[in-house]
Amino acid sequence: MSPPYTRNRQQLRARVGEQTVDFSIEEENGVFRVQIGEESFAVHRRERGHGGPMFLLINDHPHEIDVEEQAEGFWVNVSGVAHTVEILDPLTALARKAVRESTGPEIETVVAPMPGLVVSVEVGVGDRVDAGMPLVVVEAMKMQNELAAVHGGLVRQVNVEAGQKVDTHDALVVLERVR
Amino acid sequence: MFNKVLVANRGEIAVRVMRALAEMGIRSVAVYSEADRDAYHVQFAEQAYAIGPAESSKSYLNMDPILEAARRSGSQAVHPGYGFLAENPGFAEACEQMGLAFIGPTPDAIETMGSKTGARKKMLSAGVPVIPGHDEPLVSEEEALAIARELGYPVLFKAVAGGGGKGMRVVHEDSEVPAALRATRGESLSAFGSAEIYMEKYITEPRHVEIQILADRQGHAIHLGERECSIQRRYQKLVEESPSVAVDPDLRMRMGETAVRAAGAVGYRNAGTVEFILGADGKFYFLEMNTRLQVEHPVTEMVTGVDLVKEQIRIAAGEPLRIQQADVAPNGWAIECRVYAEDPARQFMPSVGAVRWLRTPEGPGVRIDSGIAQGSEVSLYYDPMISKLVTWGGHRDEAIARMRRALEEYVISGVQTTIPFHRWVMGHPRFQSGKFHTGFIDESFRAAEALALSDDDRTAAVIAAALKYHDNQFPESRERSGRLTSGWKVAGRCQLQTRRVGRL
Repeated sequence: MSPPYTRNRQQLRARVGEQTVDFSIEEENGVFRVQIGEESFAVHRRERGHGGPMFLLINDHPHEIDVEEQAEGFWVNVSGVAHTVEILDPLTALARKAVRESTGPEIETVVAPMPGLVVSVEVGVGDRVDAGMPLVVVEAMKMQNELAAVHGGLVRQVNVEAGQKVDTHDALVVLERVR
Repeated sequence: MFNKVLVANRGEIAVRVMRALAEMGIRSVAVYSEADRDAYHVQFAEQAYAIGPAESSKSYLNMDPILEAARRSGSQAVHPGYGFLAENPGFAEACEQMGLAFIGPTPDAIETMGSKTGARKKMLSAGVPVIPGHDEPLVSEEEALAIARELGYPVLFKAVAGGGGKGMRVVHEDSEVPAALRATRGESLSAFGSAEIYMEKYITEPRHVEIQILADRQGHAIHLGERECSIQRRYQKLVEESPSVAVDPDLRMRMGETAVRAAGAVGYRNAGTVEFILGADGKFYFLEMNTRLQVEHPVTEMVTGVDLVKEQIRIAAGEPLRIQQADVAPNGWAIECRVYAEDPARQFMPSVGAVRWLRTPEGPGVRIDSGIAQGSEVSLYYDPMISKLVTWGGHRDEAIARMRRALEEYVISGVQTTIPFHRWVMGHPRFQSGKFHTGFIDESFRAAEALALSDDDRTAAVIAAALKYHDNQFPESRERSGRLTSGWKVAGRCQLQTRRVGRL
């Protein structure tokens, strides 16, 4: 009989959309105990082989959830809708705060939302653009998608030209906010 | 009857046609692009031929290699499915010239109905009601402005060669004309290879109701009732049902007879669909005729019991219709949800990638026409529709309840899909009441609210992320979790052993 195994409990914080919650997680003999606020959950997990969603029994309620790790956090698919869950330990939280508060020009990077073909580029370096103005037209799956500036400003960089293929998250145009 | 038929398409519709062929004892031939070597549809055929690179313009839209595959395989007929070459009169012509039966209408009928302005003229002379509009392609911004003012706003800009909801814009006032004209032209050029645009009056609060027809080579034509296709997003149909809440038996008969008359005006044969705009006042107008099998044909099949694809094949082989108008009576209610690889939470942006995991719904009253399997790649080269989920019920409420149940069962991992969107539609009081028009989705769907996390789901999401985080922190604990005392793993191992014993 192996001795029972317990991990030290970690105090953590998670952000889902606009909401943050404090939680802790510990594992004992393959069962997870998750404390979220005042509530405590016993979680059993079964992985479904390669690529499948996790199957969880959370306080005896079954849940099927896909989790992928991404740069900005965990990409969690619940009921077919993807949400980003950021897990912040105290150190990471401090580092992010510092980045947010650092001063410098405000930069808006317009990225490709999906892979596709650049149909046209509507702006050049040095142009001033308003919020909502189309910058690049990308065609994917036979639909033309106009990518617009969210804030607008001065065009600092144009990284693509018409006819070029782009991948998700490729930076297409970089704007500097003008006050 | 044919011995062998080539299916000049891909995805779910190629699979659908091959299923009909298999049931009729006819051998099927698939074609595939370089991107589709391992595609789902290829596995359903008896033979499969490569026809070119991934880009559809060089493969599925390229007649020569397809015709060559038909010749080499010894096929006697070609089924074009929908999209790609299905409504290309030149392709139908080329098939006939090679002695291949084209499973569809005559090249002439395709050509006449394929030109929206040509079809309008033909319908006007056949006494089929059409929407007021301008029949000639627009030549300039100035002309467009003048015609729009004359018809009265709102007006609709449409691609002459258009279809499938692409290349259309509603225009509400003068100031919108230049941008709308540019955008419609651009879309039309890229999708259909032609920048010709025309204009018509936009009917407010319209329903999109279409009539399925079948016509044989002997000149006999019938209609198979209506399909309600008003659940659309930006003119793209997302949900269809048959029958329609808005159509009573009298209206069904009048629309059906009009549809048969429209088809007769072009000497139509095979399966076709006459699309109508049904106004709030009960008046209906000819919109266009789709000279092919429709995406949403299953809902008609579910309520009429007629296998439309088999009928298409029989008609193309020269057999007369086996059903009379009096034999057609809708039984129960059917609903179809088109599942697209698009993310409803992010403006329906296409979502590409590998389908890592798939569980399809099953059980009573559920039909699924799918073009993907677990492991399939959803690429950016082709239409993002990956499957059609259809449910049947004795009445509309039962069909909706079944659809809601089936959507809960449906799990696709690896790409984002419109499944959560369909859950929202099916749960919406306005959809359930049947009182909606084509503007319903654009007016009512707000992703942030419609797809918001419930408290339970938020908790589950945090727990799932916490578990992955824990795995990263303590990789050795992941190994252990489950190994010691998890009853599930033990049960899983027992099952495996049982199975192994069974096989020995």
